[in-house]
Amino acid sequence: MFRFRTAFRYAFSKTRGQRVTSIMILVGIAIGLIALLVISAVMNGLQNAQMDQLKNLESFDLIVRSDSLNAEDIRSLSGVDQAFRFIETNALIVDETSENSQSIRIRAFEGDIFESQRFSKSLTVISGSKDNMAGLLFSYTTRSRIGISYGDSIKMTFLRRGKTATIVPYSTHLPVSGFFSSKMSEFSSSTAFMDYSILSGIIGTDEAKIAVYVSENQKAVVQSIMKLDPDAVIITWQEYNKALYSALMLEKTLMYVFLAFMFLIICVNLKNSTRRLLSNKQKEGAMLRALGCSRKSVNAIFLGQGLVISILGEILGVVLGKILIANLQNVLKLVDNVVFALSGSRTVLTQIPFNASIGALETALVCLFIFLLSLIFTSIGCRRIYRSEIMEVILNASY
Amino acid sequence: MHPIELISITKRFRTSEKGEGEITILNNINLDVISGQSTAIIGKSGSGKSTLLHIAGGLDSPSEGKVLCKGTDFASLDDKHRSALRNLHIGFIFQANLLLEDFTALENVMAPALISGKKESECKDRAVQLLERLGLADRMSHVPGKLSGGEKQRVAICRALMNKPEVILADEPTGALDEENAAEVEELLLNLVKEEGRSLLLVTHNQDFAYKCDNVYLLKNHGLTKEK
Repeated sequence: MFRFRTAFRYAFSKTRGQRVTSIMILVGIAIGLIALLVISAVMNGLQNAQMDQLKNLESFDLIVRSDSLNAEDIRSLSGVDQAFRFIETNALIVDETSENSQSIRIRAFEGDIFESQRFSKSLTVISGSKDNMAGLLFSYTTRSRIGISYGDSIKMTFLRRGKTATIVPYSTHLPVSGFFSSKMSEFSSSTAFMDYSILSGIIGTDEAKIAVYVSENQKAVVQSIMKLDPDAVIITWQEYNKALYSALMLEKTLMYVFLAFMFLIICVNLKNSTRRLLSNKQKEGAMLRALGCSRKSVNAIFLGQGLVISILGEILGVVLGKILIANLQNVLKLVDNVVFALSGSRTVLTQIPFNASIGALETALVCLFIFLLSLIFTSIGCRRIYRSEIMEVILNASY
Repeated sequence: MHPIELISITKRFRTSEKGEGEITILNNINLDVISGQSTAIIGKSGSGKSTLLHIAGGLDSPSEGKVLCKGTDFASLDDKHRSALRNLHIGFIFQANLLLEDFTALENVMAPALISGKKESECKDRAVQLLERLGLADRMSHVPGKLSGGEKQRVAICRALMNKPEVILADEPTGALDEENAAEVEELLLNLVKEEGRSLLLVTHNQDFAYKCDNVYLLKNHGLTKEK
């Protein structure tokens, strides 16, 4: 208790400007931590939003290929939210009115995936109706690109398995039955939907797959499916989006590395502050030893003062960081207003289309990292205690 | 058994970092600090008085010889146990400005007890009592920066007596004080040591102060000579 009290007093000692130095370092640690937490939260929010869109529309949680299982079998498994059988193929589409063309992927689901909460969260049918799937449902992006309108006749050319030749082209005409929009521009510009029975009549169901939305424990669901059909091929969303997932993780790691460098600067200051305190308090260190403190205890007091600053800086950083994350939208608006007032133009992103968030574990890990850095650098600052004979100070003072 | 016994103490210092030459400061010194008595060591500056005091208190090690504190050789103890022995059985008073700057007078006095692991509630009464006895009742909450030289030294005396040590080691306790304050501190120290039944080992330039003690030794030519 005495050691802690002394370390705390020394950390904020009024003598020789120690308090100002300590407060500056504390604020530096807090600002560094806020930066780490906010950037992590934004990165998490961005990643989660992107991954959610991908999982809702593109890759689902799992895609299963099985000769023996149907969607109903998988839907009945524990941990599965929903499952839909689907087929997909690529086709060349030509708008017969404008004669514009585009290559597009066509997906058709058995059952009403548009009623699925996760699917409809990411995709909205804007005009026409999802119930009228006799035609094609295109995205607004495709509409703009090739200039199609509701009711236009679209010529579609597929490659399908022939009776004698392996692959033969096949063309058919279908009307535009509606338009959708999604939050994924790449998905929107490359995908159209049509009725399952019509598409399966054209390309067959040999390549049919099952899209699975998992509600909990993806790993357990995969194991359950493998139990039902050991030959099933299962692709998880992580495998499906491996390249993007790796890129996002790399981006986040690099950001952490750069921010860690910033922390090194703060830690060098912490080390120098410890050294300065040590010089200021050499006599007191000797005095404490004379009063009965062991060498280790005196060292612990000087080490403790650095850690007190570090821990208080971390507490301040976590509190302010969490407040900032919770009010990020308002802060961005404020920054935008300031920029607008100063420059007359709005250049800052005023609306972030995702929720910035950081979990307790990640926060704890960031704090632990900073704590360890502080510990190392304060220890370096304290090394002089081990190197020098502190009683020489009293001897020199007495001569 | 004496509170402190110095047996054949020799102290040499290296004259350079490489240890090429050595000078002898203390040579074969024997001294017993007798229980309940005050002992003064006088001598010129640089004669090794403070070094002898630090060796007696286990703050420094002799090159040769033994220091027994309550019969225990300091050299046989590790730093932790040596520090604990010092904390409980020895009280130090230094020349000046060696109070903890960030602590109040009361906290400074309580420091030895807190270091020994006592709680504040257990030692506060004695600290207050000591400060009151030395006329510092209205200075308890003041930090050393707000105290005069004489007041600081009185706080240091209270602190040295806090753990009821058997022996007080005082290194020029009046060296930095003016004549009036020095006389006051001398009287307080000697009276308090007597009242509390402690032993005192004093190092001083001041011959008048030294001769108020029961025993006086002169440190000259690296050796001790009994003067009184």
